[in-house]
Amino acid sequence: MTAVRPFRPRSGFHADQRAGRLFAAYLVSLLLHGLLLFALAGGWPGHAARSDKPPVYYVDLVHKPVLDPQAGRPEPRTPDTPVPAPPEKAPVRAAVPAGPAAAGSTDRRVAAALEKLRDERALQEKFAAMRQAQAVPKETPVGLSDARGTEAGVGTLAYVQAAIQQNWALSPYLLADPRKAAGVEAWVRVTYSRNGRLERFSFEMESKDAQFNESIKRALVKSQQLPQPLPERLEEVRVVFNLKAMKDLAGLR
Amino acid sequence: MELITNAGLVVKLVLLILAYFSVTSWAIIIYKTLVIQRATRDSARFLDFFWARRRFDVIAQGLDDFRHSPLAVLFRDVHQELLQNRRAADGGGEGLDADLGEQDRVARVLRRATTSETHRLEKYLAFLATTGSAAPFIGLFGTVWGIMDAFHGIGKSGSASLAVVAPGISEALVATAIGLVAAIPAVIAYNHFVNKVNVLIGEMDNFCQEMLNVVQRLPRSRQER
Repeated sequence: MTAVRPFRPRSGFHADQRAGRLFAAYLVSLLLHGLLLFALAGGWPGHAARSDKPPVYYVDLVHKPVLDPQAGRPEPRTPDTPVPAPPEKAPVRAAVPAGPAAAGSTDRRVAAALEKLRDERALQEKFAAMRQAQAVPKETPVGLSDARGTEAGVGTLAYVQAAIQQNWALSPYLLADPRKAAGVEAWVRVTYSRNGRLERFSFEMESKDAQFNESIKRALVKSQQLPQPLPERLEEVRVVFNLKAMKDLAGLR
Repeated sequence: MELITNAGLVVKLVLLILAYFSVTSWAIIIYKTLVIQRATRDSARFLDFFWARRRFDVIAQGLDDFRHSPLAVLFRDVHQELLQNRRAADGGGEGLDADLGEQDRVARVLRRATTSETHRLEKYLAFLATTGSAAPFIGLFGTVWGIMDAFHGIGKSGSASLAVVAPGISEALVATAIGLVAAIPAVIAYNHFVNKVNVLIGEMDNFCQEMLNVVQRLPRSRQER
């Protein structure tokens, strides 16, 4: 008998053609995609913790620019600081009529006594003012020291200067450089509209340090729009930038 | 997630197609990684085994240890062909190719087995290539459609503010993003697998030449032993 040879050749093992392995890979892939969707939908533990953090807004209610700032507000009246009593008037003795020779010397004595009384009175007023100033707690917000107005807040110019100062930053290397003289200073003329928009600025006096001048320009560009409108238009006012002040602010003396 | 749920019907359909492409691509990536890794590992082990034994019958008995190697498949087919030739010669039978030389028959068997194994190794890679090339375009289609839809809505509402325009465009752009997410791994995996398969094909070609030499060198009477 002749051995019958198969006409169709046998293929090899083809073990990997089993559908089971591909199906298992499909299940793994589906699982991976499901996990990814779950993470994107916010189900991931760290996701909620990050997204639930509420935003924080800082509003500066103390330094509101006003037209007519008061020097300090409010000035609490503390019980242990009595209101200074008005200085007692020194009794003026009745002038004794004297002879013409003695009249000139008496006038001089009276004038000297009056002068002394005025001095004492001025001194007492100063003491009273000092006691009053000490009676105000330090944490009480105050306006400008030289202001004499009625509105709570700071003056327009002081507000603008503070706003520009906040945006002013120097390289820490420059700030820490002891060779930089404390006299590095620049004056800038700025014009702000009533809605707090910087209209123009120009250097009235540039410092010799180019990096310092650049930092001022950057601060002015950052301060193009102030956070609050101004009570009045500021026309060509001078703002002084001083490196020493900047170092003091940074704690580098 | 709101971007997907708020999208239009066509964009959702596009996203569904892209999801199918992505899931299938990753399934193929996982599957082919295992297949090619095993084929590479078993081929190296089979070559060591083949050159250490040097007897076809002994080698044939140990083939079950190299089930994933394409070289083992080539050897098995050649060995079966030689056995059939021997049986035919011993029985005096006449096959279709009885008058042809044994070398030619072995060469044909090797070519057929090589083609078959190459096809097996390259199976499903075409899907990865299709995903890599088509998925971005499908995503782009979804985006274009979504933007058209958004502009249509803007025209109806009569407002062109950013609050009206932005959500529609944002929803539409999700389709392109997902298209790229599906395509990028597919392209990377395709290039990687093609490189690995080419290495295996090179090994199969070398093994074919070696097998032909061995078959030619061995005396006919010893081939079965």
